[in-house]
Amino acid sequence: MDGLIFKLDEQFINNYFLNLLKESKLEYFVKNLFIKINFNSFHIVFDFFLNKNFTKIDFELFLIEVPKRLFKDNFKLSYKGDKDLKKILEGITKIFLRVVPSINFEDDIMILSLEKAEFLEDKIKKIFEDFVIKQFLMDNGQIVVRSNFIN
Amino acid sequence: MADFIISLDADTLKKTVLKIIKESSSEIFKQIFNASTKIIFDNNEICFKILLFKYYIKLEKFPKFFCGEYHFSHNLPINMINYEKIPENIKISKNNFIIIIPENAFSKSFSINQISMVNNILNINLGSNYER
Repeated sequence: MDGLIFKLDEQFINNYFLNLLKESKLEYFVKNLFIKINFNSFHIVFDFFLNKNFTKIDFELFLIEVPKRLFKDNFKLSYKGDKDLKKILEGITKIFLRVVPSINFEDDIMILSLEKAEFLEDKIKKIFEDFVIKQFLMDNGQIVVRSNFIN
Repeated sequence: MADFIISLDADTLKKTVLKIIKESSSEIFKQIFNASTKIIFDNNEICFKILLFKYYIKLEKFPKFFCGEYHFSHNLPINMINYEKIPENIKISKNNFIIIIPENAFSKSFSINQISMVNNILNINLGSNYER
């Protein structure tokens, strides 16, 4: 092996977001969240409290662009669904803004920029900004990112 | 399993350290710690071979969660370090230094299952637990 490798599994991602919901005290509004990692897509299912009832939300986010550099460029994801779903998604992502303050929507594209994420110190981001993504694999419940340092 | 594994090889660490030194250390340290420096990960130690000198950093203690204090022992020539340029979250003394990872929603969500340095590979295995 060479470079810097990140491997994370589906359960880890689910636990992480469930903890965020719990910490944000928003568990009441979002229940039964499950994120499944498929080939280049996230299948996301949860019950959302809307108009005094829980509504099942079920949609898929497709990875359409991987950044060249993890902490410099953007991930782009597209989703299929109606305008109501888009509004709900925008509301839900606000929950996570503290961690990923850089989620934006442009038409049907969700843009994720780790460069703006507040969970990492700027000095650490500066160190990692010279890492380029050599390989990004997303399938079967796992994400693997292989990156190399460029001078 | 709920795992997040971070792996780093010694050569990549060297390039990263060179970048940090370029921005935060004294000229003397920059001159002796250069591209010819050899870094080896083994037996949970990071060894630096610089000219005729051999330095080490050994992880002595790590926190339960990703945030917290990481304690290292070392024999680095700290008199060559420009203290003013060292990040605030690194506390260094003659034989020890501590790296403090600040607590935030991200860092306190992870527990550290294992940190190992074997055969020139550093592996950090993080776990994430959720209790309903």
